[in-house]
Amino acid sequence: MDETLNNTLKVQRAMRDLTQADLAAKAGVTRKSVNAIETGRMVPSVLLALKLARALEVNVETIFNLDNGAAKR
Amino acid sequence: MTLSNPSARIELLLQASRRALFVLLALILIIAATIIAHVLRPGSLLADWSARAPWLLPVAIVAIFAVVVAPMRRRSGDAEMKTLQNDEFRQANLARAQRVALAAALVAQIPLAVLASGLTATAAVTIMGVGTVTVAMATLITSFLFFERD
Repeated sequence: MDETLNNTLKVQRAMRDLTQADLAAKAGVTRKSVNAIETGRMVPSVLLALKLARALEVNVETIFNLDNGAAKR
Repeated sequence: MTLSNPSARIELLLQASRRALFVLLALILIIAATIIAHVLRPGSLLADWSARAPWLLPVAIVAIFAVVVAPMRRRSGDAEMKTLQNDEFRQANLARAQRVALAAALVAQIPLAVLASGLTATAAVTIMGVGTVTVAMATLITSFLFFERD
């Protein structure tokens, strides 16, 4: 099992011209949480993933996805 | 970023929390060092400072509580404080720090037992107890601060 969770949080945030602090405030978390998710140091819970998706007004799958190798399995 | 901004207030709370943990760590180490000095080196400067100025420690604890802890407790109902308390990254770091502290406390039993082997029963129990609590608390706080760093 070498499934990896990829995320496009940084890209999605940059597309909306938001800082980590802005996104954190919108999602109700700390800036460090946003930073940890963006850098892959933390895998968020479903609840936090949904909060981030809602804050960015996109689907969760737009931000988070399993890598291609894992998806084929 | 102004203080009316929620994220700025959360950052301030994070900094205050870090400061409080540093102060708590220092306090734990000072108290532990004093107790251990009482057992191993009675009459030394480290053991006797609390006897020479017995008012110092209670005053320091009250002052630290008033300056560092009380303002945070007063804000415990604030939305920013709730965000901080429910933050997933912080909770995950606390859980990791607890695991590291448990491992450190277990590993510390061997050197503490060696240290306490030549002492009387009362002194050995004191050293083992204080040593275990100090190692666990110091490791918990230090590793949490390390995991929480930017």
